[in-house]
Amino acid sequence: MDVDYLREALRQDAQLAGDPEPNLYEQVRRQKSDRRRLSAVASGLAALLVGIGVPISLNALQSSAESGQVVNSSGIDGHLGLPTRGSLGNDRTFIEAVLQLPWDVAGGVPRPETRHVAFAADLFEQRWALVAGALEDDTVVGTWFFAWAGAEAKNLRPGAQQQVALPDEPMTAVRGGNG
Amino acid sequence: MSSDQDDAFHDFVVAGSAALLRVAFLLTGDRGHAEDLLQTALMKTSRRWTHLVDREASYAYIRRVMVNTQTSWLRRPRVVESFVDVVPRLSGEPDDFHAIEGRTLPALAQLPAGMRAVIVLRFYEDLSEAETARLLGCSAGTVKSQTSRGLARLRVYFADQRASSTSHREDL
Repeated sequence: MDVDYLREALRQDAQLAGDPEPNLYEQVRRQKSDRRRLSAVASGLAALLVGIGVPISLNALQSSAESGQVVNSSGIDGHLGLPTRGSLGNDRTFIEAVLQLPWDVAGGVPRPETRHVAFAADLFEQRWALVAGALEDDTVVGTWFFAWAGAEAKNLRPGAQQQVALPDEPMTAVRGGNG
Repeated sequence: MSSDQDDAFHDFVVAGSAALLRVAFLLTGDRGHAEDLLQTALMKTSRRWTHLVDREASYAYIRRVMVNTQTSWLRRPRVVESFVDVVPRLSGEPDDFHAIEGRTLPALAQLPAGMRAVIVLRFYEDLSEAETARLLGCSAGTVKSQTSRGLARLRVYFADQRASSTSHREDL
């Protein structure tokens, strides 16, 4: 068997594939769209899980703001014992950097001494950080910051939603994935 | 993807999918798997579309994706290749196909995925050793040795087939 014979045989065999589906492009688009939706649902589920775990911390934070108590900035060994949840919760350097991020909301600028990182983790190829803090009128607000997984804190950007946190109400976020 | 990029991707699919399907068919040996492979590869390529500078780069990229995807699919335990004596006839199959002594589909099925990809790229796509190595992300030496071993196995396969065929005719 020489290679020319092989080439010819391969060419003949390849013809058996026939023609591709005429609507292949539409199929690819639909599949891509379906995957994007699935990814968004998965991210929403993650946000829901995050939302379940966070309100206690926000509630405690609001109490601290009302009492004028200062929250330890790292949140790890804070006076209130507020933990930073998520896989990055023990990364003190990262948490400190997140607390320094510029952050203002419609109602003003959350007081720096009340700020707390309630959640920080890499989920679904993105880095998530939920920062809570109290405004001058003691309204507690929280904002999700996002970047790509593994990003430094300086690359985090606030999400579109600036949420006012009510006690015992989850702070949720939904992010679409890359798929 | 912008509208222009979307149009370009549409043109790429329309213009290239027939040729790509044939490559996928040789890599998988099955029309249904070939369609799945092509569709998956196109989807992955569409995600990278904005980074692919021209048609040639796109074609090289999707071929790489097809080879890598097929290799990963074959690693899944639920994927099982079965060897059959007679290849099922497919619609559109030329009538004289079975008269061709050197059918390659069952022969290619004997080869490991990587070796099969090397044979398809070298002798169907007519890529050089260097081009094949670049596409597969390995050295030219690896391509050379895989080619040599693949051809040797194909020769053994075809020789066995000829011997079997001759013996069968003599029995008749």
